[in-house]
Amino acid sequence: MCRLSTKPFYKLLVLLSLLILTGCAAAKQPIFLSSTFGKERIERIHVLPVVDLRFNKEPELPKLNKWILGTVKSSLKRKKYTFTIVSDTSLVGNITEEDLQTVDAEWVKDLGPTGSRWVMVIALLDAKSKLTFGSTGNAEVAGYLFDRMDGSIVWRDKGIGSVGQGGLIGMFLKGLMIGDAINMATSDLMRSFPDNEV
Amino acid sequence: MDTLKKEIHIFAGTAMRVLVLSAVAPLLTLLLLSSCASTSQHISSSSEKKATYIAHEKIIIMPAVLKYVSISNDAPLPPATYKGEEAGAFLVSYSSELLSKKGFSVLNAKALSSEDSKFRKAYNEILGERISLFRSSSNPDLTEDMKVLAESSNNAGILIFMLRVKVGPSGTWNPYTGAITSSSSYTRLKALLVETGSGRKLWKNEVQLREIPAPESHGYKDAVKLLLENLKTDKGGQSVQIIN
Repeated sequence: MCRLSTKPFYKLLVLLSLLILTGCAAAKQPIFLSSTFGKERIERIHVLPVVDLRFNKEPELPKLNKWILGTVKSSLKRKKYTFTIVSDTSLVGNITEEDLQTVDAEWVKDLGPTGSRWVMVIALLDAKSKLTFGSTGNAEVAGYLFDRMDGSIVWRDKGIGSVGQGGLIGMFLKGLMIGDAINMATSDLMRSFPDNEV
Repeated sequence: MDTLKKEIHIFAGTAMRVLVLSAVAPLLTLLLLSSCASTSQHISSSSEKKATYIAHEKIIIMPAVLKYVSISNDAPLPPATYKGEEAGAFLVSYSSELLSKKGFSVLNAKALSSEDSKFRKAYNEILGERISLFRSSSNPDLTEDMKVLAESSNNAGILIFMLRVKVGPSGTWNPYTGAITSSSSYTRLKALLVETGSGRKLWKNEVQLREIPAPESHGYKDAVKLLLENLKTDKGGQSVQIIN
């Protein structure tokens, strides 16, 4: 009798936990998503090399493209997009944060390789690591998807990564903090990029 | 027996001292190292040390563009919450003081506006569009206004500032897991000098400060100083001349 009465409560508890977990894992809302997104099939996204907009660009991050574009690639694959990773860094050489903040249609039309339409730009805005009694890492990444056909912005969002560990162990892990923060920020950024459902 | 007790006491005391010292010394070393080891300095400048000599010693300083945003989603935040207006006013007044000491003549835009309606109109147009001057592409809409400004001010250059403040969460410490995070707020102070006659960008500089700027903060004052450090008149000199 007792077993019978507790069973529904147990089921309810499991259901509630699942609901809470689903809520936590849900895709986040991007800063901007065009109302036209999803109405037309995106044939191929051209992902440009990462724009390093860090101040002074210190420390040098030779693995920056690998870290960020690795996460972007697996996210786009999971979301069923066809994409090309562009390696020509001259395409992003002159981009400033102001260019990305207020987008000019003519500027967008000149962005990316010839023949491309959907162009994705990922910018690293800030990354730092700090040694205290432990060590911390912070990163700020911004992402944009442009439609070169009409010079419009289709998707825009930001990702933040903040990691750290206290104590002696944390102090010895300082070298890993920047990379971890950048990976965390990129994963956070890509959470709001919609699935390819067309 | 007493001597033995004394020996044991001395030995125990020495052993304890060695133990404490061996534990404290590396800790102190690490703490000392931690105070100076960071991949990002508190204040850093993007310019090289080399000075830029500007032939236009007459300068009009415009009110600073204040951009306070949340670091997580770029949502605009009211500058008043962070004493933004005060920080902007300090930037202009302190720069005026620093540039005057370097031999520049800092023109009073208010006085010129009240005397000359053409100047006022052009100045207000540029004031509303000054953020566009920070972009890599030029703004052709401002060409005429720039020329008016050049005529009315005897070719004074215009100095524009931008305070882009990103406000993020403060540092945290989780006593259960030992996880820590540090504050992510930072400020970028940008300065741009434009030649009014041609609309050409003569000089620009940028300084990053890892805090929210406050007029009373030494860090902010040093950041402004660093921002203008390499801007010099081609005549040099230390004469103070403020034209009202």
